[in-house]
Amino acid sequence: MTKPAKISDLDLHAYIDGELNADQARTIEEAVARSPALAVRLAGYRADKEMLKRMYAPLAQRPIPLAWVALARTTTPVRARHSWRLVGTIAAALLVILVGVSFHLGQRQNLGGDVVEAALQVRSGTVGPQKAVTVDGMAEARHYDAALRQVVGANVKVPDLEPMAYHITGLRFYDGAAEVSYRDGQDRVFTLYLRPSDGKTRFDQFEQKGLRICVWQDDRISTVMAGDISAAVMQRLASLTYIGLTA
Amino acid sequence: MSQGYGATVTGGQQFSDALVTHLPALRRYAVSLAGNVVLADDLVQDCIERALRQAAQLRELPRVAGWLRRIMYNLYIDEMRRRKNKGKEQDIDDLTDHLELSVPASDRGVVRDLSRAMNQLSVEHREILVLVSVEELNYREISAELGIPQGTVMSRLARARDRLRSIMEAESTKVANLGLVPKERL
Repeated sequence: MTKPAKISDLDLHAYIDGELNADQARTIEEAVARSPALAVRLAGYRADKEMLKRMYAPLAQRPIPLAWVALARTTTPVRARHSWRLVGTIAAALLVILVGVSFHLGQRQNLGGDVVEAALQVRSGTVGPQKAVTVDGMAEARHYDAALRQVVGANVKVPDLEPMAYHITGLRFYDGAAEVSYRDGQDRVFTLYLRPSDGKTRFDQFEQKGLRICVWQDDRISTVMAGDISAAVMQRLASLTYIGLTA
Repeated sequence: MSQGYGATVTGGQQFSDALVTHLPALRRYAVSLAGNVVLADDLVQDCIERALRQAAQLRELPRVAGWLRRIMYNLYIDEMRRRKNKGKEQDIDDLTDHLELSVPASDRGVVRDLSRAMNQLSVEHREILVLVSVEELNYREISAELGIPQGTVMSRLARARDRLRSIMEAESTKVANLGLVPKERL
């Protein structure tokens, strides 16, 4: 009869971390099966590892301040980025002109006041847009980056929420505001309302009129994100939206 | 000689894209290292600034995550030295509140204990536990990132886990002896 192999601490940890080959892992498993004390130690280490992940991982889902994104982007060479961003299609250029002309002709829609209220009016269709476009996919949406920048007065682009399976469906432009609409596989609508900020910073998330709403505002842009989604999904979408807006 | 990222216009754009993409994970790393959300946010801001200044030193963009973590680690060590000289202590209650909000209610007691236990570890131990458990790097990657042999990674990790376990067990015993264990955790 062969004597059971002695398990070193380093091997035990390497087993937990998936660093052993199949034979080495089997040796550990056999030793654990024979020794309740070793099994308890293994379970303790594993629980700590798992809990560390569960404890810290959600921190990366939290929205990051726009100021960081702006800092990361504005102090590096930006000429090339600006040049390709400004290459728009004729449709986008026309839209920019249309938005500008509408403004000067005084076709103003009253979207001042509380940003959430304004966003919900736009989402519900209570306020009609100056221009509405239907888009199918991000390639098409890219044509409206310039129009979005024109409307909100900041260097933004239409966020890509495909990584969270939200497909862009359209954009609506108002006087000094815009709304981008997305749908997920279950046909749930997520809207992103944008307008220039009043200069105050704000970040909060709450429920209103049956919708989960996230307001994210810095000294340049106000955004209101709304959808029939959980708080956790909203957090992830909000992060993705802000990264996408300034990407 | 190859140029680092940030040395050219195109490289600068790729670099800033990568930097922005890694900001959420960088903040998470800062929080886990610093044990304080306010300090972590200051560190991230400093880290972005330093990364931008040193962008030309980054030779391979795929290594940007590890490169940013090294900058963050060095900034944290500098900050701790400054605070030590000024006699300032770190507040951990703030972090505990934040972490508790991030996890299901059933885990909150454990999270509180674990975050406090993490704050009793040396920064080297916290770092290696986070790299393995949260950043999910393998030993080879950690060895390359920290510039230490793989054997040192293994022994440091074993010591860190033992230390964490012993703090957690000591705390449980202390609380149990005081009769303070909440009913749902018994």
